[in-house]
Amino acid sequence: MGTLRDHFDVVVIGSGAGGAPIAYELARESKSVLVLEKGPLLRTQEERGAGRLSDFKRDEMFNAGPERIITTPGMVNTGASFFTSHVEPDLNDEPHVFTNVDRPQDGSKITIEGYTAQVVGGGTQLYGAVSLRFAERDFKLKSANEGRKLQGDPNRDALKHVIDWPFDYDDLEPYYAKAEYLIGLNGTVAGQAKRFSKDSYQTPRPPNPISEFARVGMGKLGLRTYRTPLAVITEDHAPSDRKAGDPKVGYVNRYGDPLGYKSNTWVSLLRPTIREGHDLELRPNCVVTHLEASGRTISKIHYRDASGRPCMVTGKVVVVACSAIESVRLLMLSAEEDRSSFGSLVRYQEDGSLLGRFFLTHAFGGAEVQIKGQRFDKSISLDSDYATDSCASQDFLDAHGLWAGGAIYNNTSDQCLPITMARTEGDTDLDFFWGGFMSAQDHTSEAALQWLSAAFGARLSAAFMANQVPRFENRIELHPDVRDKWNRKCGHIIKNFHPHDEQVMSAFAEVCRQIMAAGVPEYTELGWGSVYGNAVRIANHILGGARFAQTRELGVLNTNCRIWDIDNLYVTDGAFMPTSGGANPTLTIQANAFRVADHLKQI
Amino acid sequence: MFAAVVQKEPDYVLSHCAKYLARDNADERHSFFGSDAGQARARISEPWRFPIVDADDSGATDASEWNHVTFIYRAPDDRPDISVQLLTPCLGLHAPAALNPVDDSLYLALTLRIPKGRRHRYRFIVNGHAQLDPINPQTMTTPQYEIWSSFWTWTYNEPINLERWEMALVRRMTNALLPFQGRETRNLIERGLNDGNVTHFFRMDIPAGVANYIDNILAREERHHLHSYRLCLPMIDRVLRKRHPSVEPVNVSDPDYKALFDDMKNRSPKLIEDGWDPATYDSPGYFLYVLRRHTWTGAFSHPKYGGNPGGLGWAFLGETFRTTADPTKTAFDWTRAVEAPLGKSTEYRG
Repeated sequence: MGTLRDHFDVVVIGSGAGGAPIAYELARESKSVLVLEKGPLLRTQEERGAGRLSDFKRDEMFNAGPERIITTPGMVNTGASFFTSHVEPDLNDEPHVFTNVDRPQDGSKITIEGYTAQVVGGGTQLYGAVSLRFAERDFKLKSANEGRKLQGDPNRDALKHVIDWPFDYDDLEPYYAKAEYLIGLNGTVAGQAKRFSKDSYQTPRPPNPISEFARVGMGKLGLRTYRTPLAVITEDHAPSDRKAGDPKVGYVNRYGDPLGYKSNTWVSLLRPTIREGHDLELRPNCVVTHLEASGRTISKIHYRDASGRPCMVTGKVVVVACSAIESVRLLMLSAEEDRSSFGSLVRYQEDGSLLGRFFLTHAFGGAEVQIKGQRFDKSISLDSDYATDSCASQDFLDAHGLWAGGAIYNNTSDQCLPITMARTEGDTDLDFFWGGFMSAQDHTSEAALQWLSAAFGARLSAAFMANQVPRFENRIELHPDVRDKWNRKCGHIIKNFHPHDEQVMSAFAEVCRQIMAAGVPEYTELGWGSVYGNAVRIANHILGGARFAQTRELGVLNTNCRIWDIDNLYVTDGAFMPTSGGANPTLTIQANAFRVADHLKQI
Repeated sequence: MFAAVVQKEPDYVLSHCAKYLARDNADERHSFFGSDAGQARARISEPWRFPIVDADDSGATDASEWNHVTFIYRAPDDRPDISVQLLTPCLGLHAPAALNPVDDSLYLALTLRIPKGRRHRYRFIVNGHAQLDPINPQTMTTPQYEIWSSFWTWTYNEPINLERWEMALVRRMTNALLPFQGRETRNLIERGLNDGNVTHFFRMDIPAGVANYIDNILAREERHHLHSYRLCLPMIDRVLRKRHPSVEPVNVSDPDYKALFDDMKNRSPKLIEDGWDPATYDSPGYFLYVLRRHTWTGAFSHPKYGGNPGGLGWAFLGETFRTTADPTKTAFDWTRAVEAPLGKSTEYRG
């Protein structure tokens, strides 16, 4: 093997939703681009060659495998079990420490919440692929709430730290359209409340019949429905040269797709760019340890190769996009390497510094029922069939005294496979796997069969995804004591919800409950509610921590996602978001990355 | 010979090694509660993944009967030119084969094509000296009392760690926990569950392989639980023999096992009176918890893990549960997603 190149026009750290669009665009502008990815490159069957196999499997033990035990000392859950997928980190090697900002007396715990996949394609490999645009109002939540009085805001501080995005929906709309076309989505425009300049959706496959209850329920409540946009191809996709097949097999959320129908950023953006001969180099299994600054410029990117040996590379432009927690952590670790230079450029630990602040996820929850007397084959499914924007309307928000809205959609593929059914029974978060099954169900063969008889192919849920109130106190820090396998300080997530989040989540959960009540003739209610009160829950929607803003006083990044005082350093994963949007964030991260790429083309 | 050398792409090897083997930490954060203390593998993550036992992806017509097994040695940082050979009866003990450098990394690798369902021993010859695999914790002892590293391929079904009486007891307990194979569940279906569809009852007479799965996972992925099984199984045997002196534990009825499980869950005084020693293992409920999780995953995970032979557990679900709209159709058509010859997918190859 020849000597590795050590200088590029652009170095992108992270190959997921925030990094891949930039690599795609700039490589096609004749720039030399290097993508450094911590995780492995797991190929599809087609890439491996005729008759050969993918490294992703339709295997429930790949979703959340065998039990491991947390060994990090001093945590409240030291000695507890954890279950992760094959491309999520070993928590004893790369722990995330969580502390409830409002209840530090509860102690700290290690959590799997807040990780995306460590693999080429990042979180887009394992996600359920729900690819909604944000509502137009989501971009202007400060302006939209001027003079409004909110319910459930006892201290009148819910809006204290809310800022508008530095652009509005119309500015991002062309990039939504570009992302939808290039990445490959199916869905329908009709029924959506957002304005579309172009419909690039492929035709959805027929819904699973169980979803009809959700559609009917939404309809009876007067909610306009549409087919949930999913990043899964249903037709041949010319931009990425992919052939369509049968994607509806139930192995969806938390599974990589061995056939490449799920439109992750590897198969949709990076792979075609490399195949077409552009100067895009991918180095998987390489973890960036820190950045080095010289003056106002990032001069070196230090990383470890697949053997763990230190390496270094330079780039005229450096893009950090390794998921919000890890991106902020990388900036902080770099600052600790050189406080006087890099540290001062990012204002690390200075009074008023916003680095790490306003960490966000989503206000989310839903309702789940067990349908009586009817059974369906839920394994013939993708992640969702029907969605509605109606609860993002101004009328809905005014009626409930809410600051922002969200989307509601039904889950189709959940609980469609037997091990996942048991492991997620009654779950509250990813740390809880197996807890409900073990504690709630009787322990005889007869009881197990009766449980299956009632539940198998009969469970239906509706979920909501709404904006979370930004709090200054919600933050990412470096933990002073806990170290990763490279002896670097680990990420420490300190957060909780705002009281107004409860108002939002209660209103949305009630709508979800009503959808089930209106749509399902006879059912047993399994539960409805939200993640309010369970502060650790993140849903792998990792946002904020380095938000962008019109001024350096309000944000870590400028409007083009560049660190204010560093001329060539950009952050383009979810860390840039000042508010979390009323929908799953991936498509917006991708659209914004395409927007930043357009800016980078001009410099 | 049982095996043949095959070529694997460098990125395959690197992508299966970096996460687990590349690191700086000197602390023993993966010592499996001290069982690996003082050994190199106590620093690394998931050493049980090595050697890498994976599907034969050659595309050959008989590939489903074989595994690719990739042996890995990581050279020290200061000796990248180290010589490593694999010595194994698979290739013939007279013919050690060289592990080759993977690109310019510190990893050396060799991949063999080996039939499924086999267990083999091996050693590395490092710069002329034979040694055990420093990563893989599995060993076996020959009749000559020599210790070798060992591995097994998919669907291996001979006991590895548990003794035969332990396997029999685990098999009996898991049958009492599974949603099929018990007399009570058979009665439940006969009484009308899913319209009394009994055409698939023959599957209830086929062992679900869960005990084999558990023995496998206790040897590899969850060896931190092996000690619990070793401590608890003799106590369960003791309790059952005291309660049912004229019946072998494997022949105790389902209701009596349910009574045992209730006592374990509740840590009842009766359980202790009948022979459970809290000083040996204080939480019988936790052991039941682990056993139930292992039972479920063994019954419904891919057969390559040692249970669910031929998709038996999946077939039970598919044949028991039918769609309401069309009772002739299954409510779990697992075969359409799973690779042939186990399933019927025309796209996915496994």
